[in-house]
Amino acid sequence: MINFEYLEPKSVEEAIDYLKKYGDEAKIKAAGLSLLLLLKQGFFAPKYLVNINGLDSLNYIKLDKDSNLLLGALTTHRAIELSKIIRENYSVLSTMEKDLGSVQVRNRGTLGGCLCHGDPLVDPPAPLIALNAKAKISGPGGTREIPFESFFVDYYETALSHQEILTEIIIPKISSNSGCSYIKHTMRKAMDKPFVGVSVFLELDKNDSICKDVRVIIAAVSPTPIRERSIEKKLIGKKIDDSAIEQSVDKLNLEDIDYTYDIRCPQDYKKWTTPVIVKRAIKLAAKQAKDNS
Amino acid sequence: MARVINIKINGKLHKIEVEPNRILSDLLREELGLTGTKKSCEIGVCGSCTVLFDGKAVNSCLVLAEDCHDREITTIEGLSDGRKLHKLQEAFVKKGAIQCGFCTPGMVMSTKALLDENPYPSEQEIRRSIAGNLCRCTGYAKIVEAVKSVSEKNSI
Repeated sequence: MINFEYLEPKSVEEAIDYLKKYGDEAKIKAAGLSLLLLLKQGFFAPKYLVNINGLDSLNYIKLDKDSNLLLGALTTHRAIELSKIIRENYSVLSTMEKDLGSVQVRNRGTLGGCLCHGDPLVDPPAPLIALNAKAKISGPGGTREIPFESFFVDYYETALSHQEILTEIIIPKISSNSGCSYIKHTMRKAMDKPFVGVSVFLELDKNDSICKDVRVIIAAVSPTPIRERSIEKKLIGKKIDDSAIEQSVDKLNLEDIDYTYDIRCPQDYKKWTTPVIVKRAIKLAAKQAKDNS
Repeated sequence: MARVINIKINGKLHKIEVEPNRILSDLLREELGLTGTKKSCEIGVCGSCTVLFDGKAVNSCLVLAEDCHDREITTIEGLSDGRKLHKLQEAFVKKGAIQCGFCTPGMVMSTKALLDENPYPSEQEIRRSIAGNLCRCTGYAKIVEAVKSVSEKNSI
């Protein structure tokens, strides 16, 4: 593996100073799992690694005064999987993390590192977009927040500039009569990345089964996650039952997706599976919403 | 630029000079002669290099040695006291949970981490804990049995 200079900033500001100073030659490193894979295979050769993994100030799980969930970017997958706050209020994230990689990967890997890597074949983006989560980003000009819906720009490319660092993941409070599902389709039962991953957030009107709000996110089939608004439009204002869900998922619409080649499954299989998983994910979110009402 | 790190390995403090690109699994095997930790895929898939990092199972092939400064690492060599095997190792031997033996150190470390956290795991919890450890002899059933036998003893 190529060698590099290892820089260990003591704060986010100091890390940003390094990025300003060294530009493209520097790369932020969290736990470094995904990054080390690229370095080992020689795909990437930064001169400087800016290690932020030691910044404890970016490792936390807490609720703010309005009950929004705040996750420090360096929170590990395992901490999210085991968190009581998350299991009770955002169970979709516990479910998603439980099946992400192996225990070894979850113990070390961070949510922020995973998101900034921009790999389309990972689990967290879909449920975060479905939950309307936002990314808090620090850069030379201060901080900004953007929704995760616009965070993923292309294959291994995010909205972060070279001088910016993701510091926090903000997840709004979920209303009680709603549900959020995540279903991933994999080849193996464990230790596998999705080749279709669908997350659906669905909110019902109080006291009846009319859909008030819904977000349908399809990930891992193309370079970035897709929000399928055509399905959402057909569900909002409707009474949610199996036939409404069946009718909302138009196979032809989903055929327009730019399904990418994946060594584990042919594009045709992705195309064929996606509507099936989407329906299952809507049904599961609807069931949860009814149970929570 | 090489740097000196303080690293506690199997209870013993070491001061070692490491290059920034030094990987923990290489440091253990090449510099410290702790070859019980195996290397195979080197991309975090097979689990044969599993060690405990501050008590938690990690793939040592994906950890930079520099990140172990002031941290505690336990390898398979750290389980036995030199005369008597650890009860988990003994259970692996007794139940025949070893075929070629290459995955065994990783399997033992992963299940050690599980039992430290959860002394009475269910069969599903045991299976999930070794989801990141491949045994190409496919001797998983005996491994699960061995871990179960230790957890049963824990409950007595």
